[in-house]
Amino acid sequence: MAGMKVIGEKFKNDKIFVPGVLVAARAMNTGMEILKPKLIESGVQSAGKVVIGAVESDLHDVGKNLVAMMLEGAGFEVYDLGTDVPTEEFVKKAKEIDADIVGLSALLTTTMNEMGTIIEALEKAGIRDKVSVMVGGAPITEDFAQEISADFYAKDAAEASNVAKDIKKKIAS
Amino acid sequence: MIIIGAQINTSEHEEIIDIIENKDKKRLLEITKHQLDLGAEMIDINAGQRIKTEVEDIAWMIETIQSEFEIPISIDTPNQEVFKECLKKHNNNYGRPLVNSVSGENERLNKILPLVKKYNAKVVGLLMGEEGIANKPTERVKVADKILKRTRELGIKDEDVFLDPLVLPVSVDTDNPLTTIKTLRLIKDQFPDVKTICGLDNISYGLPERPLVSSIFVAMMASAGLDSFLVELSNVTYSTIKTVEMLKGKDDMCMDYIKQYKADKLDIYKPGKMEVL
Repeated sequence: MAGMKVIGEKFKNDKIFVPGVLVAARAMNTGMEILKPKLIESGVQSAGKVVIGAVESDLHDVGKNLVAMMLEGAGFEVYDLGTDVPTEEFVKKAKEIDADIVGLSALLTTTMNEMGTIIEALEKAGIRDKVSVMVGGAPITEDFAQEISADFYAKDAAEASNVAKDIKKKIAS
Repeated sequence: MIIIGAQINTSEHEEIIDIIENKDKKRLLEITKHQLDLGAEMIDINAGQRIKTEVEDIAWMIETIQSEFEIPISIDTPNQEVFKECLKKHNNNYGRPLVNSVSGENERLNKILPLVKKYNAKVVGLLMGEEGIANKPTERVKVADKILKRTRELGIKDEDVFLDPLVLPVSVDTDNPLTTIKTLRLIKDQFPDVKTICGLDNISYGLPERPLVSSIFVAMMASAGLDSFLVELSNVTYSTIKTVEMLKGKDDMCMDYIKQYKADKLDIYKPGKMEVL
C-alpha cells in the first residue's frame, strides 16, 4: 500500500509512466488477494468506501482505472462500476454500500455535463451530504468542479489519491 | 498523406482558451502558420470545452484562419449544432471542410450525415458503434459497413469518407497498435475507394518522448495504407513523414527529402529537438 504512494509520486514526476503504474497495480492486486482474508480476520478497517465510474456515454477507462488503483493502494474499498455508467447506477451503488466517496470520470466535453446531473441525483436521493464527490478527466477543471458543486477536483491519479486521503481524514474527524 | 494539424484544441492547450476569450487573431494565425510550416494541409479546430459558446468560437476561428490562409478546416466536435452553423461559415473555395466526426451510432448518423451532403463536406467515420469500441478488427469493420451503407444511400462518395480504425494507447495494452493496423488493412481491402484517417497522438499517451512513438507509428500505418492523420506536429513527425513519402515512392528522385535536409529540417534525433511547438 505504501508502495503505491511511491508509484503515485514517481508517476507525477515523470519518473515512471503508465505501463509502470499498471505493473505496480497488478502486483498490488495479487498481493491484496493474499492479504485480504488476513486483514478481514484481524479486523483491519478500510480507509473508506468509494464508488467510481466513467459517466454515461463515456467509454474511456484509462484514467478512471488509474485512479481506482491508486485509491485501492491508499487502502480504500473501491467499487468500480466501469464505463458508460447511467446516473441511477451511481446513486444505487452509493446507497447500497453506504459510500464515503463518489468518483466521477469523463474524458469528453460532451459527457462532462453528466457529472452535474449525477450530483443533482445524489441530492434528490437524500445522500448528497453523506458522500464526497470527486471529479476528474481531461476536460475537467477546478472551475468546472465548482460550477457543478462537486467537492473535489483531482488533476491526475496521484492527486486523486491525495485528495481521497484528505477526505479520509475528514471522515475520521 | 494528408496531414491535419491538431494544435487548436481547447482540451489540450489552455492557451487556445485564452486566444478565444481575447479574440487574439494574431496568435491564432501564428499557431496556424506554424502547423502549415510543419507540413499540415488542413487545420483541425476543437473547442469542445467551451460548451456554451462552442458554435460561435469555432465560427470565429474558421473565419479568422480563412481570412489569412487559403486552407480547408476540419471541424472537430460530435455536436450536430456546431456542424449546422459552422459549415455555413466555411469557405469551400479553399477546399472542402472535414466533418470530424460521426460515430456508427444511429442517432449521430441520422443527424450529421445529411449536413455532410448538404454542405458538400468530407466526413470522418469512427469505427465505434452503439456498443462502443470493439477489440476485434473484424468487429470494428462491421461498423464501417454500417457507416458506408448510410453514406452511399445519401449519395456521399466513398472517396469523401475517411474511416478511422481508432488508435488506443500502447501504454495500456500492447495489442492496441496491431489491432488498429489490422483494422486499417481490412478497410483498405474491403473498401478500396474509401479513405482512412486516424488521430495519431493517442498511441503515445502515457509514455515519454511521445513524438518519437507517434512518428514510428505513422510509418507503420503508412505502410498499411493510411491516407491522412491528425497530429500535434513536431519536427520529428515532420521528418518521419518526409522520409515515409520518399520510401513510398512519392518523392521523385528523392528531391524533396534532400531539400528538407538542406533546409536543416531532418536533424531530428539531437537532444532537445523533440519539443512540440
